[in-house]
Amino acid sequence: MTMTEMLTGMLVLSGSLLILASAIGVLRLPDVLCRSHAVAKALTLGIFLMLLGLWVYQGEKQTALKILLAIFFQVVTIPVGSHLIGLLALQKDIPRWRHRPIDDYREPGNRS
Amino acid sequence: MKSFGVNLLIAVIWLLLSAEPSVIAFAMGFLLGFVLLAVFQRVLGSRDYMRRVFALGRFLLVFAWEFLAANANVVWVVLFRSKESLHPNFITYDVTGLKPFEVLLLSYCISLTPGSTTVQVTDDFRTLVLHTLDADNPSAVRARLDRVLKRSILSFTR
Repeated sequence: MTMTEMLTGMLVLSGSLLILASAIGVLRLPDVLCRSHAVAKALTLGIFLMLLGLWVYQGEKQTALKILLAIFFQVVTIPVGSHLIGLLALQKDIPRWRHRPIDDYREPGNRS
Repeated sequence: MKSFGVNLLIAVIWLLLSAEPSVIAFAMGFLLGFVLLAVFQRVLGSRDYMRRVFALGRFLLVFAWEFLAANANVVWVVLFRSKESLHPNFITYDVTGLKPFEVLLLSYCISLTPGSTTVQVTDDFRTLVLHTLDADNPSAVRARLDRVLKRSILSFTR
């Protein structure tokens, strides 16, 4: 095994383990907003590491630049998706784990 | 911004002069231009640009560390913590006085740092509503965001 193959293997393996962790998080965590934590963080780094592994494997070819673009778009859009899911959950008032009155949360617009 | 243009121009000239255009050659040219701007910063008036570049580098390091810590945190929460030990709730974070771009960057970074995701940016760009997994101590979360993220973002945007 060459150095490149070892590095590729490590990156892809750790990326897929992180994606597995985020999938378990979607199953285990109690409500929508907690699940979006697992998706936003673990999925972003997981996909980043997997694509990075692919990039290391490809080397400096023309196709390799496209992988950089794919990394960029994935990393930029996943947190935005989780933000939108959270926003919808807040606006629709979806049932939450341990629903408590929000002590220091003011509705936007009620500001003095 | 002008200094960045000069830096880019030097990189392009270097690319045109090199025997075989490649990504490596462009990166070399960019680095060379940066060194030139650093050496002649009095003449070219690029002192502010240098400061911003170093602040950006520092921010990227801080952010990368926070991102890794967030992932370790998520893995730990997912695998080893029971539902009953979680106290998720919303907290607010005041961002009065920041430009829209800075608010955007801050909210993106908050989504990727330990324990918090951005849920809502109010229409007047003054308050962020965050969701945290452990909301027992909101002021500690706010102080941490102030100390770690807000300061390093403001150091290169201003």
